[in-house]
Amino acid sequence: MALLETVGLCKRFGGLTAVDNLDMQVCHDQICGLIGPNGSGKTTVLNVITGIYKNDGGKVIFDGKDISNLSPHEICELGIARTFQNIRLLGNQTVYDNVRLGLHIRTKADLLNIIFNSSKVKNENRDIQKTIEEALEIVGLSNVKNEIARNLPYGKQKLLEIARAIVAQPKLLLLDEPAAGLNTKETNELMDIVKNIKDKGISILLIEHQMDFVSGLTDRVYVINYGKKIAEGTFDEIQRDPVVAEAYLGRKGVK
Amino acid sequence: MSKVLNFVSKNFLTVIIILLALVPLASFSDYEFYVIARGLQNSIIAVSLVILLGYTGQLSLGHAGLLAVGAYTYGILTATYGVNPWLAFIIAPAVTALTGAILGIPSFKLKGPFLVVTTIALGEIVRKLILNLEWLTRGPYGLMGIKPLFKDSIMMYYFTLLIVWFICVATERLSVSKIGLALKAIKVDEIAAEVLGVDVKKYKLMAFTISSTLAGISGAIFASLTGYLNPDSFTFADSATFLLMTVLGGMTSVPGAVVGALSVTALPEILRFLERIRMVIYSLVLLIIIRFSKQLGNFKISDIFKGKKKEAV
Repeated sequence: MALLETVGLCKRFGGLTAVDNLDMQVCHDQICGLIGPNGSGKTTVLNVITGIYKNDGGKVIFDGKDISNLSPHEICELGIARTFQNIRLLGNQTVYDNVRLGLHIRTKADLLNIIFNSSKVKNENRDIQKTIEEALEIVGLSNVKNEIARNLPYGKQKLLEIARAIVAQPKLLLLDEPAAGLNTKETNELMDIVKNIKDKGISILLIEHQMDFVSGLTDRVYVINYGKKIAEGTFDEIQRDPVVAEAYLGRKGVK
Repeated sequence: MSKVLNFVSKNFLTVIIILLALVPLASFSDYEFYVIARGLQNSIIAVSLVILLGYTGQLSLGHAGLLAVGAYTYGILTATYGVNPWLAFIIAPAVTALTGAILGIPSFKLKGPFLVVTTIALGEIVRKLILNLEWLTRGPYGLMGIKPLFKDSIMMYYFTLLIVWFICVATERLSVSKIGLALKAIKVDEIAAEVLGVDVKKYKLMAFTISSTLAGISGAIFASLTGYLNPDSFTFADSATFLLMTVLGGMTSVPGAVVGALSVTALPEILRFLERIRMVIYSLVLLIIIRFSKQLGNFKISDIFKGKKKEAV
């Protein structure tokens, strides 16, 4: 059974259908790609999956459970984490604290524990320190953990978002254009990091425009245009698909 | 010398509390002592705004209303119904917390100026209710015969100081905790916080409830200190003054808020010798402080207090 499945997913903004009857599956231990021309509705799909938008039809099934009507924080607790296309870090907090926020759902200390600084809080802080450092290790940011997030270069901020997303050990990670704005060297490093994350048992659905990145990582690719799925398959299969070429290049370009 | 400065800035809260503990030993007049006690009581409400505004980013200009709920609950219970002051001191913050929680609900949908207007409205509703529910609050005549927590003003002072110290320590612990981080995430980016598993509604409600509990404690102490309550003490201008205390302290700094509250409370009294132009000079001084802290860019009053930023764990 697939880890994540969308069945006939629809999302409309007034008269505009941003996601139109989309069927998609992400299996366990798979990296899936979601590609399509600009404005084709890719980010909207992620926003519907993570509960930021309510869907107007169809279902999102995660781990055998319909999550279409849950709020984002409930979906997060079930094990879906994501990064954003435009970086959304806590700019004025340290790298360490940004990752610590990712562990919010795993820490259990309540208000009274905190006010009286009980041993529960102290133990928990010690435990999460290791987890946070491991996550920073994976993305290679251990040496800047005390920096203020805003001061990091763009590429490292993107990695920090990934560290924050994986620190709570989600089952599924959604990456929204992780390689956008990165140079070739950074992109290659990112590919290794993403493979590494997959090897840790986290399935991945990623949106990306850099085709080298998509071809090098994905087991399966979905292509959407105007919110409709126009092709699916391995990268090689969709690369040969004339419908895909038409969506990207226009009809004349295909000839 | 620099070692001393370093020590002071690292343990600024402790230093302030110790200094404040020495106040009754100095030869202040009764009135000066009362002003300092009031400053201490105001610092609780300034800290409550640190949690709500500094951490969570929810601006409230209705805290005078919450203060009034705490003060009048304590006052009515002890003066009219003869309830034990200590019992009243527990009930007053609870009632205020409930009022604050009601104020928290609109914050789920309302942001920025819209929320501010709502908080102003709450403050005004409370004040008008106090003015008009004469059978309960004695309205504009004022509520008299409020029983104090301690007969002795020095005992009362040390009790207030103990409460302030506990609240400051608890707030600083809250700041670095999971809850504090979640609140700060809400301030920066609600959507990112929600996606990372923070129940934004729950934590906003929590911030409003904690903040109004503190306002209620401050109100009960206020009633006990003055022994007399009048709706004129809880106007919109008072809400703005509380905000000023917090902003002066750097918004996110707990010891900063305490110093802000003490100085804003004391300043008009210190300037009393200026007679008619007193309020002009008072406003001018505040303007200069705020202008000054802005001009120096990174420099904020709170920076003196915070000292070097502590290394993150």
